[in-house]
Amino acid sequence: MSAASESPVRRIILLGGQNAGKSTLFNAITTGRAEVANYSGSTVEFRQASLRPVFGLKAIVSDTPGVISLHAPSPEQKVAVEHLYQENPELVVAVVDATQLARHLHLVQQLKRAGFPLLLVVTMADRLAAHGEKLDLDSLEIALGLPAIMVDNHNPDSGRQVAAAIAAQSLGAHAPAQRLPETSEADLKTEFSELDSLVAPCLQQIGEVVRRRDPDKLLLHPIFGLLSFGLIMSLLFASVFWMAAPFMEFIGGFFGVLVNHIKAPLEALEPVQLGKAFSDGMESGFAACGTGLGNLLCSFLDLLKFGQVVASFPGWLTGFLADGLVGGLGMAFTFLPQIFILFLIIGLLEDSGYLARGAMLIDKPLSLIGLNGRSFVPMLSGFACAIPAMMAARTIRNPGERLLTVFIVPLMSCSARLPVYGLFIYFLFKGSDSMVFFQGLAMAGLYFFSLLVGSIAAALLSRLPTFRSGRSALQLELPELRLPLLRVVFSQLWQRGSLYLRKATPAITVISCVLWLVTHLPYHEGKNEGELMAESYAADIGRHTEFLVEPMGLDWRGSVALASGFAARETFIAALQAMYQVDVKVDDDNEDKDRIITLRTVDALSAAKFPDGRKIFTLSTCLGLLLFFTIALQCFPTVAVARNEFGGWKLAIIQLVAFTGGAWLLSVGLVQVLRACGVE
Amino acid sequence: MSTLASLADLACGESCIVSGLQSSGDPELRRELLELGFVPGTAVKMVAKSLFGEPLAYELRGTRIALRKVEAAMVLR
Repeated sequence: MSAASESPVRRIILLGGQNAGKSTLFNAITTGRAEVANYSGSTVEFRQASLRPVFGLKAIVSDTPGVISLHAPSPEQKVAVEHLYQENPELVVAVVDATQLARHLHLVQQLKRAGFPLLLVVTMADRLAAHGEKLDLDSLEIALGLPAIMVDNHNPDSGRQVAAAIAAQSLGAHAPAQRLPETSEADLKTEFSELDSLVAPCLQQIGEVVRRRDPDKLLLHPIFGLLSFGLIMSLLFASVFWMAAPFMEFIGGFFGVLVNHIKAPLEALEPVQLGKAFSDGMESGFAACGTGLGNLLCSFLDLLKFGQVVASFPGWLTGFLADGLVGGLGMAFTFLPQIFILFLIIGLLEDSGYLARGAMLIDKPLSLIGLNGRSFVPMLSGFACAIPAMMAARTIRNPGERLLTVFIVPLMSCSARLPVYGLFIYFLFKGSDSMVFFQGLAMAGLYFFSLLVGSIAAALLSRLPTFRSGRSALQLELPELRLPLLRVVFSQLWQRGSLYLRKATPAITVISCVLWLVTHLPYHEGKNEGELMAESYAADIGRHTEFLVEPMGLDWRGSVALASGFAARETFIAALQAMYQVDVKVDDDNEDKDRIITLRTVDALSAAKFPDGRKIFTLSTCLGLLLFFTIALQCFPTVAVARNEFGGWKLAIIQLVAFTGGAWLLSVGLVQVLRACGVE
Repeated sequence: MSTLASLADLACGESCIVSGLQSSGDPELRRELLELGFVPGTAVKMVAKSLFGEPLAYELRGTRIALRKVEAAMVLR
């Protein structure tokens, strides 16, 4: 045993075609605590984790994006191959699908010629059986001159089998692999026919092919295919919002209690707006659960004399801790449910093989506006949050199309805009509960509008050389449809969701802290939020920038509120309430608390006037604001992630300026035209 | 070039054997198609055609691959 603990850590790389079953295998043989790393100098990611200790071998296993050939032209495959040569691992586990052996063995032959130490893992044994075929593994091993093992991905023991096969290899230092010259087209043809004749004798027809109805007859049908696609997408959206609502209420309740508890020593106790707008009209049993848990944590903090410590803090520090820090964290967490649920459903669709079909169905319309079928998932994700959505664009091979997709993703109406839409639609309908149907219609209209704006922007931008580089290609593999493997789905869900947690959460929190300071300093003890904001640095900035928002129909207070929306859009509402002195103090036990606050906000906004007595929030101003919010890139965390994805500040800044400036121009245009037409 | 029969003008459900690839046209695309398995002698069946006329989905070598029309027109039958 002691020898094992001193033995060096081996490096193993899993390599194989798309959908060959690498990720399933990776999850089966590793500890599952995968680290996501970037290939050096690229945005392409791969997962890395230790082999499970029970297998008795110390090894780091890397998963790779699908690679079909060592000379594959796509950038993602190129970096994976480059990494393979640089890493020069002790073992390459070549994963091939039993039902498409010749296609996948092409890469294996190349790896063998290059001199990599190889273990062949043939997956999908179950599918082969369903095809009525049997693979003679011994003959294949002899024909290829390689050790091989066959597994069934649904078999929970497959991980152990593969690990045993790995341990049976002599894993030691070896000469570096050779760089192969690119095979000529003629040689490629010969190679494939050789592989065909190599594989044919190893496969035996042992039974009838299990004839199933081909689901693609429906799913890819010219008409029913599109109909089912529309239906699946609508269901996806509906379920994201329904399923996320209770969790968001829970998080809102939890952080609300925490914030209020910290602020308790301050006399002017202001209830927090976290998650409030989301829970409008919802039974908030879940919010109560969150509140309960929050209270529990507070009692625990009190045991640690937390309250006494906070009470000794100056007022500004307490406010900062509560609203800036904890409130900021709460804000970042409020979006988690929508993001995780959207990614869960996307993962289920992806692993089942449907997503590739969706990308095929939508490729033509997207290609007309300079995008690709593969842009579809990022755009879809953009309706939840632009940050993971931008990262999802990495599967697009063509660099121009990838950049364009990242560029337009923030135009998709993300979940943070929902509360703002909700408030202003409610306001425009005069706070009446009738015409709920039309309010819903207006909301749906805003979503379609954002899709329309995104499409127009893509169509226009695709004419620019930056977004035209490279040849557009589809060549999309449509994996056989299957029931998704939950293990794989959840591991991917965690990988994607944690990207948001790692990148966006700290950024949102930090920006929230900075904005709190700007909107509350210089601090004067005993003044309320609105008074503090009116005398803050932000107000100075607001007064100096009033000329910017004046044509939009707003005064300097609106300017401050808009600026604070840059931490995350929904801060806008809280800032608006503070600036226009909305009394948000409602008895906590009041069940209609949220509705009362919304009504008071609506009242305060309709009463707000310019010094000369004109109303501020008129029809034209509200429409202008809604237009501004659909387009403007008011989210600094997105800008930070965009910089990452664009590979530099240039495009990220252009994106920020273009969308925010464009939103301003359009909004001013709309307001002025409406006024000229006599609409106040 | 359009006179040559290619995968692009296959009817849905129809099968054929790949005879070769268009010799003119983008060499990189030709390579990609070869690497995907569209080599002479391969049996290919068209399984679906989108409402907009493309992409087209083909079954070959145990898998299904969706191609745009220009890509499919490169593969001769």
